[in-house]
Amino acid sequence: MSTTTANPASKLDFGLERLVGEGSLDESSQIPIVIRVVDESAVDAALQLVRELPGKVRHVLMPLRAVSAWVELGSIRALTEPDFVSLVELAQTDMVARA
Amino acid sequence: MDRVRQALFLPEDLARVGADGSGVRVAILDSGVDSDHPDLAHAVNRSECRNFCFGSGTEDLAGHGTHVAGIIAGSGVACDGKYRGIAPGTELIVLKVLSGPNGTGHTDQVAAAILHAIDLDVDIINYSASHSGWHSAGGPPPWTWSSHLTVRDEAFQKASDAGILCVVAAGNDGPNDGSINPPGHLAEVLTCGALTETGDQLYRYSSRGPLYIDSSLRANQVRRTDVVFETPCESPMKPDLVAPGGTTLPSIAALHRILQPSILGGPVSTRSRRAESFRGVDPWDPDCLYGKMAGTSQATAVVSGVAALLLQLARDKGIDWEDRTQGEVLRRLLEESAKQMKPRAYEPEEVGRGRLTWPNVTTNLQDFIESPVARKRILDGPQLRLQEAAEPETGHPESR
Repeated sequence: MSTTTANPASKLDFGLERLVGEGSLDESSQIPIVIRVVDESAVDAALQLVRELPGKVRHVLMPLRAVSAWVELGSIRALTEPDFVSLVELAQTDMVARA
Repeated sequence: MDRVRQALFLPEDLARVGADGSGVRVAILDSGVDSDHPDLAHAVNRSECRNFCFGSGTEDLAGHGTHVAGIIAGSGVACDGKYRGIAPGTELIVLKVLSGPNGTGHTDQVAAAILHAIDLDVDIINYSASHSGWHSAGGPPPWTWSSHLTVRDEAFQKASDAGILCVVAAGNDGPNDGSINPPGHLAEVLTCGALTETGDQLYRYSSRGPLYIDSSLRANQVRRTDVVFETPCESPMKPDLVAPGGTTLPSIAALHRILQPSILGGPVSTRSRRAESFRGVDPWDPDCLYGKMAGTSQATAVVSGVAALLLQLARDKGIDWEDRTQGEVLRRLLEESAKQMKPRAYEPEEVGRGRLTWPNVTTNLQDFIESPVARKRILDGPQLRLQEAAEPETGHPESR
């Protein structure tokens, strides 16, 4: 499995790209993210990647080919480098639908 | 709840004749549930409840999940039936995905809970929460969403493929058009808007269509819509239907009672106490078991309760849908049972197919069983994905 890719920035979703780029948060801020990988066999590699950062795994979503984790903002670009990572996205926030 | 029952034309004696949702398993993905509440103790399957948030246990600090659970399956035992739920025989599986006094959670938690619900083989998932575009788009609706699907969205699609009926809230970002919140934008879920408690008017804050999707947007990008130049999506049309859940007042003043959350006698933040006080509940009053709350969350719970009654009725009539298609057929039957409201007619973008009523549900189920033509009509919806609907009619679903 190759470990580099041509354009890591394109693997960040809109929210993360903005967070990483604008510099309004400290580099050590913990960010909830979802790492999408190219196939199920790459989920273990993604878990390893998170642990090495170090980050904290939240959920392993095997059928969705994804792993969610808390990672430091400063580590996010490193997550986009491996070829087996297809997208890194900010975990969106849902809220109760009460008026 | 009496007014809600009246608005649905739900017979008062339904539970007495055994139509109470028995045998139906509903997963409530919410802020937890007070499973010790006297109205809910019978319904919650404690051994299968699970917390997908930080911490442990499925206690409800927001009060929201308990309220939703009460609408679906509250027994009304502590109030002489006054606040009895729609389907008190339903088995509830509490999957806590929202935490804190405001009930917030991340999409990965919701996705993990949905995958768990699939493993548990539930019949219905109730999700009375959503992602508002206000913050990300930087202003009020209409909003244009990215076509990218989050893990929460993909998990809902998998649940639908597994035959689970997924009932979700449209959101409370009305009255502007283009205010449907994800995951209510998915074709695979039944998206519920809210009517007033009497069921004759659209709840002012109920989110409504049309949907604007732009495939050129980055993943998870949302922006305010330029309605002059943008064309809304023709399909799916959202919301799918509406049910009682709101109030005529521009406040949260008057509908369902909150089943008191488990903050009673325990630590609670000032903010949470203030919120509960605003809703007319004193969290320190040990006798206070009910409170008020309104919105599309409540309408969603009403629809889940009706869906549980429908599924029980279908099973009682000997119908055994294939596991894979059950949710899709239920969704189509419920959509077909929603009718335009009179005397005031609303646009489809506002109310979808219209208001859900119980007599229409039973009539459609009977037609579905007896008439191949009606069955084709019911199955032949705009969002149909069942292959067998394209085939010649061969008989009743029992024969499959």
